[in-house]
Amino acid sequence: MTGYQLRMRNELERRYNHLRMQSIQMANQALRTPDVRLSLVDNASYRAFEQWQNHPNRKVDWNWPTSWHSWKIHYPKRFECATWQGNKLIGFAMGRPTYQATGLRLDYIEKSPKASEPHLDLTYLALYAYATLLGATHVKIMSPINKDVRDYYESKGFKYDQKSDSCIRRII
Amino acid sequence: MDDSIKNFDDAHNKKLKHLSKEEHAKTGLKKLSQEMEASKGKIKEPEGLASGATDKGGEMIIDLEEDFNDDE
Repeated sequence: MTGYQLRMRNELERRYNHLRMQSIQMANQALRTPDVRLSLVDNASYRAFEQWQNHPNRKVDWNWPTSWHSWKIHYPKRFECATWQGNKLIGFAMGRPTYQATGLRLDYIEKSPKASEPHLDLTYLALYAYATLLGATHVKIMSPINKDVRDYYESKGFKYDQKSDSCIRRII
Repeated sequence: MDDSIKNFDDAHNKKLKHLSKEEHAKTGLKKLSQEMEASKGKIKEPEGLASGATDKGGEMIIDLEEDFNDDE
């Protein structure tokens, strides 16, 4: 990366970090459930992830901290969110705007097998806020891992698009 | 959808169009939060909810190529 590219990237990081923090803050203010909150992803999230990283009921074997590092470097406009119940991590989510920023993709989401609070509903608050601040008209969750998950998204107002293997929900 | 709900949603959506992005988000979030509370426990989230592309080694695919068609 040249010096100019690095400066551009850092400027984008600064601008979009402000929007990311704003969207998390707005989502937290809208929440009515005590003891539940959202945050950006940080070292505390990684430490909390260790509590269920090796859980036998996980459906995927993603190493969030490692992938996150790469994601953060390459996507300064990224969406990111961790959801919490008290000091227990409910789950992670990360995404990025579409090429022309008409939409916001949720590229990865995972809920802890030990958590009971609804991770998608909580994540959607921050996703909706970030998408609205960006001026996007839709959000889409990429590659649901199975039919149960896909059906669940559809029950939440998303529509499955086979071509892109994603579940899309228009935001007003 | 029930007509009264549809009318409420239409009125809500019309109201949002005249707001700044921040106000729009706050108003939308308030409605989403109410819906979330009302639907709590009605539909159970699938165990091990996850979405995203995985490579053969089971890792996330951090695809750095831009998808020029993903706005369609």
